[in-house]
Amino acid sequence: VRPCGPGSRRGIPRGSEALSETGRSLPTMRRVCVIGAGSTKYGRLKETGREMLTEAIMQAFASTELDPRQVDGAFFGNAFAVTERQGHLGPLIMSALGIPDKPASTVESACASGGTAVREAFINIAGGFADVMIAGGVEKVSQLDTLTATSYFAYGSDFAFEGGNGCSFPGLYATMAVAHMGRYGTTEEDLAHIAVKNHANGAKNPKAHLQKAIKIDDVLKSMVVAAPLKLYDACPFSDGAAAVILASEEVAKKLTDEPVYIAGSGRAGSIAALHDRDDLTTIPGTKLATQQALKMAKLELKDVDFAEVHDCFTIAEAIATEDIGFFKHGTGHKQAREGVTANGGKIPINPSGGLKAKGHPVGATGVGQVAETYWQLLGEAGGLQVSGAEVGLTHNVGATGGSVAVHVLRRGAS
Amino acid sequence: VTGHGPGHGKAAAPALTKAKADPHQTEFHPAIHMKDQIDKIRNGTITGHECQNCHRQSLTPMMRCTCGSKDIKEASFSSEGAVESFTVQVVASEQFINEVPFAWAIIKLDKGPRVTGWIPYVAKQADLKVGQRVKYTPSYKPGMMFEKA
Repeated sequence: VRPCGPGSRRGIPRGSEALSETGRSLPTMRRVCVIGAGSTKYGRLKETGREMLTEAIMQAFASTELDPRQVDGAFFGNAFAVTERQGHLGPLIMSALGIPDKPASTVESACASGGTAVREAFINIAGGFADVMIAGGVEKVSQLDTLTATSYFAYGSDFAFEGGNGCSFPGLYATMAVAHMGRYGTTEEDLAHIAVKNHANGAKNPKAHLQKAIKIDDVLKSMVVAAPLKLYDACPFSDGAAAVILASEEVAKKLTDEPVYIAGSGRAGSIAALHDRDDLTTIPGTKLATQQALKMAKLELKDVDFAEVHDCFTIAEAIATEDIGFFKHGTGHKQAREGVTANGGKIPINPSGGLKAKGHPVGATGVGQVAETYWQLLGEAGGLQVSGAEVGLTHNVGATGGSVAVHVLRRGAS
Repeated sequence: VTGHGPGHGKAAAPALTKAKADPHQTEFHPAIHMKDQIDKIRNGTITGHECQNCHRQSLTPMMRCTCGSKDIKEASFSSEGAVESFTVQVVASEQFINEVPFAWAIIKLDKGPRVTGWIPYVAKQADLKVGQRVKYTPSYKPGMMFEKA
């Protein structure tokens, strides 16, 4: 195998130190930084998807001195643009930004589309193909009635064997909840504490869809969506867009003395159909992606100060925090009740309000997590600020874990 | 910075073997098509795949097994099993709007893998229990319907 990876120039082999013991050329990764972020409010917005995404990117550029003409390309997370009768978002947005010659593509990984867009932009810079990339994400679903939206979301499952047999998206996570309850004694009240905690955080987030503190009884008495999950166990269908601008360390250091680094990036998958997995109470891809991201960042989990995790349902946060490794299996559901995951607790989880309260504009969610984490590390998170935050982790899941993206951000270089 | 990229430190990947496929082939591999399988299931026999090496079974397509084997054979599974987990669907997708409320369940077949299916006339969680014996009941309705056995 000739070493002709991105690190080598025009296929000319670099020094033998770049070869692994198997003879495979190893990428010489460049460090990647976040240099700007923007986000619309999440919720029911009157704007179209293209308007929202353009706004989020304009905000991101307003937060940095970088000229958009320095951008090399973009990836946009999006799942349902065609429901607005619009595909091919990339060139629409780049044209509006005055850089129509720069390539942009949509990436789709169901609810992990945003995290995947960040990952692809990261790879382009780390691999030396680009110096500056936009990672954006957008979703517009409020024009759909509940039946249509429920149907479209079910297409994210293995439809021939899951959705087509009657499950809705909440139904998939409900079966994970029942399995977790059966094995670990998790109660509906335990899960309600997760919703209450995330709503308490979201109430302070001016960009959140649901800016409302709630009580345990509000959750327990809310309408059953897919038993045992109730309305307040579930994230809302949200509109919204988010964008981050990523740059090589070289570019970032011209703009700031202390950049925020994407120190680690992990991507993994799990068997697509939930029922084909050995264990319904865990998402294997989360473990793999977390390990990759931490290894790349040369950090351990104990170094992480807070995390934005994929809490599309309350049970999802319990399982995510177990799979990431913050808590032992079978104990994730107890942490909100005991205050461990509150902002100010031992390991704040979803200080932004998470998908649960901040909202879940599918393609934007994973990008929004990175934006929130960036603001935290800059100390610009306002009422959401986690004090002394230096390392943050983002965790974005597609469907029931078929796609997972994990990023570790840190303030300053290691 | 070298030596911390993806793939570093892992065991060597299996050696590449020279492809033997005919580049002009226009036929699909016969096992790709799901129609035969779906027809058999519609006609009452739950049909899927079994790896002849590690004996992993599934209804979902398996051209190669996670163990690496390509020796996959069609297999028939039993029609009865037990509910391993379930939910009650009050809000459902469009194919099921006339069926709500119903249970959507993950069912472990007695002789076979886990499958999913829906169980009619379940309006609340107390109407069904994990462990409930169920039997596959082919019908004109969408998807795989199971009834309490």
